[in-house]
Amino acid sequence: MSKKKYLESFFEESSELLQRLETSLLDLKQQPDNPELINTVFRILHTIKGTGAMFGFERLASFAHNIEAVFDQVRKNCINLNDDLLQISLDACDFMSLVIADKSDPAELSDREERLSIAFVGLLTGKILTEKAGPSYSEPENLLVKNSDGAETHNKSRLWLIRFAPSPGFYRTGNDPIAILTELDGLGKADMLVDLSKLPDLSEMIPTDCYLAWDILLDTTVSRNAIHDVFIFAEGSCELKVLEVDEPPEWFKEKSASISQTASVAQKKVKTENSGLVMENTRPGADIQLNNVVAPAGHGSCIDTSVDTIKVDKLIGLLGELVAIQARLSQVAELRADTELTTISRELEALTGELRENTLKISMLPISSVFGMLEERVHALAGNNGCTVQVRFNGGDTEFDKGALEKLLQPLFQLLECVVDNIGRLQKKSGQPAMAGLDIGAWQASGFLYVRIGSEIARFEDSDTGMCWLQDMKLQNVPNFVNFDSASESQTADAGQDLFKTRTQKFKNAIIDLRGSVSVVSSAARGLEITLKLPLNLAIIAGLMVKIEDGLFLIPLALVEECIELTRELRERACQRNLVMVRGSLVPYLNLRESFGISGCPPDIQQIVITVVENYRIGMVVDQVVGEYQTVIKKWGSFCGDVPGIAGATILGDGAVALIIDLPKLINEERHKFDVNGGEY
Amino acid sequence: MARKVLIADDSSSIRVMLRRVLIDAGYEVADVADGSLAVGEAEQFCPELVITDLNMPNMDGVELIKALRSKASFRFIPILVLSTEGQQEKIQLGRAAGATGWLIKPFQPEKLLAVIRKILPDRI
Repeated sequence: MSKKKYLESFFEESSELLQRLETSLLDLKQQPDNPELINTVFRILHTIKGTGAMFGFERLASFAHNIEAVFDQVRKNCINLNDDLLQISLDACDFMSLVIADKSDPAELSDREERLSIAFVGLLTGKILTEKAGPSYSEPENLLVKNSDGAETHNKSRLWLIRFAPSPGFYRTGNDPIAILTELDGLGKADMLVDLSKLPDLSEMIPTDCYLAWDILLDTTVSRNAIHDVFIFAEGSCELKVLEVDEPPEWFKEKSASISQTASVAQKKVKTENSGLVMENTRPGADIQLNNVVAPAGHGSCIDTSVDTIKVDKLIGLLGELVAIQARLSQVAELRADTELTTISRELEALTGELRENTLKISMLPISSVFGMLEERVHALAGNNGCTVQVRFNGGDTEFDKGALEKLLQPLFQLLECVVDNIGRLQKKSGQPAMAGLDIGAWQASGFLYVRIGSEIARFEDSDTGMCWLQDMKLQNVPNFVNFDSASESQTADAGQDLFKTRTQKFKNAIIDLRGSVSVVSSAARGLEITLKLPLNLAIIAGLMVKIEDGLFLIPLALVEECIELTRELRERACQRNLVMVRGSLVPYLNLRESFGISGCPPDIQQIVITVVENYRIGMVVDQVVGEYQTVIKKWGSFCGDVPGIAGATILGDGAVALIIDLPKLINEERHKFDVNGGEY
Repeated sequence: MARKVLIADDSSSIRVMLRRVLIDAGYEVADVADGSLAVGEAEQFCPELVITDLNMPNMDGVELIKALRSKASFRFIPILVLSTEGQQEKIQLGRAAGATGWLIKPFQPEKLLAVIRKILPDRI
């Protein structure tokens, strides 16, 4: 950093100081006993010495130091202030002005300096023989210079044992042991042991006192002085021992070993807990193969959160009950019209809502956590088929229930196998082993997870036996939509292809288990697209609550478009065809009372909930629309089995049970009852 | 946020120089010419570090350290003493009063910054 920019202020200040010095010296002539004036002279000389040294005027500083030392003695009454002294002081003042102005002949200045210096030093040595002329400013005494210049280093590293025990009042000097230890650590390889033996009981502890001490084993190439420099400001307010040792002392090794053992046990524990998870994740009785694929395979992704799914299920179960109780409380609070109770109930409602949202997130995992496994499988399959496939993923952050994701893996593998087989065969046929793209995408919409496997190159072919099991699904009664747009008329698989049958069965079971559906679209332009559609079964469902006789049902709100009234008049006009005119188009409707076989007499005015399912508008006739309702789906226990048209149930505030209608399934079951084309959307 | 440093030195050129060096190094700086002014300024400015000269007209560095240490807010902050006198006794007086460290003039700006880093460690 250049000093030039400060020089101006230095010159300005110095000439001012010298002027004041001159005035003070002249005043002293009049009143030689004024201690205040002597002090002023001393301070001015001191300042000139300090600033001169700072700004590189060592000669001036050294000169001023000599006069200052004389006036220090005057202050202490060791030297008499007489006219001679004042005269040479004024001479000195004049001389210093010349030095600062830097205009005189150097030789002349030297002469004058020597003369004056001899005079002052003579005054000093003549009076007090014990004191030397003071520190020389050309060699500033400074320990820190060594330190900041990187210390004198030795090539050979040496081992130092340092005991550093700050005094209790250490912090009150503004020092910080951590800063010192950090600095020490920077000198080499430091092992530090903290000594807690002085730590008193909490009740006796003075929070501003330092009770800790450290034993440090430092392996460094720097010198002993450099180590002491670290403690330069601490020395005096701490106990410090710096010993050079040949090897770490036994006690140090023992203590250090016991600490690192504790640390490694803790680390191991963390590790086992993490890896144990993979096993815990898989529910008992799950497929062994599934277990394998769940394990991380170098992709850094694995199905891995630290909670057992059974525990999560339990938690969600409890949460469902909490939501139910809270809803009941809200009802009661409203009935009582008690403001205090209402306030509490509202707060609880907000909390429950937040808790529900967060709890449901626990069991959700991003789809990307299985992408690694899918990619690996594709490459393995491609290798077997002798083709090259590039996998492109999108929508990796789409979340899906962890348990369901595990179940989804096998069907996805099956689909990938058939698509890659298909690509391989087509490539062989065309003789163009170009890189084939395979897209795997996922997204969420209206309470469903969609997973699409597509490839521009693949085609669905009748002759493709590898695809037959897929095609076969339409003929088997998979209880959902299986749309084969271009291949709906194709033949079934050859009899006797047991392998495919087993595969089909396995795939079907997995998809049924997930309450999902499959659609396969194959066209010349877009290639093959297989889309899996799965309900987000753990997600809270926003539903429209409807009533039929005494029974409460919940229609997923995402599918509801609007509600209209079904009057007797409209019903009669429809002539039993179950069709209603909604803004210019005919919409078929389904009487839920009939579908669920509920006896009793419908009210005069019924409601039609217009829903949109698979791009078709279909109305659901109910007695009464109660309103929107948010709830956690309670799993339909195995006790009840698979009830057609019902996805699950939920418990309401007053303890009543509402059934959640599985619209796609229901419509599929009742498909024969209405003309689908009539309600084209 | 820049860390605050209060300078107390009766030499205006030293103050100008310290200001420059510290501001260039990213500190926020306030300066006073005397110990008696420093106490009031410290109350206002709330410095994290005080740099003081030992010899000042009305209240010297040692007195200033005593005054600051008697106040709860400045009991633990680092105080750096600038001294021209290498004598151990002056430094000992400052230390006894609660100075954290000292620096002997003349010094290079780099060294001042090194010492400040030593006694005013980075915030965690």
